[in-house]
Amino acid sequence: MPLLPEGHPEKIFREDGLRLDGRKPDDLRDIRLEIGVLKNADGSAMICHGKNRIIAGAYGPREVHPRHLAQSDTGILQVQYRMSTFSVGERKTPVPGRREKEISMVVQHALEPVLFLEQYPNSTIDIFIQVMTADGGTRCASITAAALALADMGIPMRDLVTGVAVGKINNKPILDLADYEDKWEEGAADMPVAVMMNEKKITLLQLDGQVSIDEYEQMLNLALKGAERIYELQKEALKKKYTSELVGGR
Amino acid sequence: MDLSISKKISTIEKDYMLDLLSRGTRLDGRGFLEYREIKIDAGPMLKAEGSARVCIGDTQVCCGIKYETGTPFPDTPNEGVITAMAEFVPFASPMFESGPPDENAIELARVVDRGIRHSDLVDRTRLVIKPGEEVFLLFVDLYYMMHNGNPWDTASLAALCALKTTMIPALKEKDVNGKKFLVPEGEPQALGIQDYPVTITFAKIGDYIIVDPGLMEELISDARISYCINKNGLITSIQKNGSGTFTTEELLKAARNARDLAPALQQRVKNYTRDLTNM
Repeated sequence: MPLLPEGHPEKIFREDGLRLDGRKPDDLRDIRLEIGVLKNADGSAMICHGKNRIIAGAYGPREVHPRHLAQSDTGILQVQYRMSTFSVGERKTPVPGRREKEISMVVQHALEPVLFLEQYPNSTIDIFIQVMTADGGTRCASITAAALALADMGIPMRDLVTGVAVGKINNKPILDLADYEDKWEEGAADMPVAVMMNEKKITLLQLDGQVSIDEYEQMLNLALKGAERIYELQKEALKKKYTSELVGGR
Repeated sequence: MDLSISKKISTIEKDYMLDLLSRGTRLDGRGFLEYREIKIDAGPMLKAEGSARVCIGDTQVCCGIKYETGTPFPDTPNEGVITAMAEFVPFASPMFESGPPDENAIELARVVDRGIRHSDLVDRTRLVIKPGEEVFLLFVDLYYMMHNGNPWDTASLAALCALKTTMIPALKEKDVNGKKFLVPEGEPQALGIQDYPVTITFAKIGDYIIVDPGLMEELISDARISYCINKNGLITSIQKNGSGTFTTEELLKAARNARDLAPALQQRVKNYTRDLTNM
């Protein structure tokens, strides 16, 4: 006999117009970023974004395995995104599914533009992302964390990459969808975005749902607004780690 | 990712270590029967039914418990099912590669599984929803996050602590739109554990036997022996790992040492509560 699937909330906005968790439409959830959380990885970071708990670890540039993936004129970036079995309400099977493979690829494409891969022929940079708790917007949070892991590794980068999801609920644009908002179906759309903030270049863009061009423009602007705040947090986290190293911390 | 082969250890490193051991000490200054520092907290597993993150030195394992429902095994119709799964996350070590669990991950899961199974750790009759038909399937999922030697003791402690804090709800049958579902009723209750079976691993380097091998010690060692010791000081499972050999005297001496070391580890489990604030 199956377990009853998790139900949805009956409404998505409170009487006072705020979201169920008390946020305004353009509010982000609480975000904490921590750098250097893994002892063996060349670079690592953890993001706590709402209830999301995601750890990214990076290695490289190093020899490519299997060898046939190596390219003689450029380095490659390999990304693996995985959800832990206990990261969601009902246990996820440990076998990687289509969703995880697709996200691995789009995250790879989102991060490649900031790297100088042509500098590392025959080599690979590997990023492993493990979702320990999922709470909506994991691919965006993964990108935010993975960019920090790359920076922590100490390789040259054009910029960081910042991920944020925007969406539409009951036809109102909202920033940073939580899990329960992600699952809402009425007048809904979900658009994960990743940005290189310095030049405001978009490196990841997906959409699920129906939007008009005007709404699309509003949502893009909202995404940039949110990403700008997360970008500041990313820079702060990096500064914090390296100043603490200078004064003899960690 | 063969843990013992893929990183070659030089003769100089091995000689240096043997020299240290001959003078009664180890790379990090520990005694032969001394564990590294052990830290236990709830970890970032907010959606698990029970969880623990255990660090022994720089080795880290995260364990989360999840349940599903299903039919019991025909030979134990009135018992729930508990299974352990271990995954070596590739960021845990530069030696690890991505891919499905290999023999090392499967061995780790089975060592943990046997520790749980043979000590009546969990009262399985409490996992029955409808006798003979519907039971809880409990998943003990282990993620090896940082590889720095001795995953066995780390994983077994993590599993024990996670199970200790596991809360499961009562499930009742309910009709929803003409279909039968199982629905949680009331607040989840603590599953509880009835024993404290801890795994204690020794590595053999030359003629020396040391507890809780660090990564370098593990890679240099010829063989490892893991004893699972329960609250009554009984051995509930043994696993020898690696291609080296032990004499019977060595095995018995290690077993007595394991029995003496067990209470301190068991106390750590007894003291553990799952606190998710600040996680």
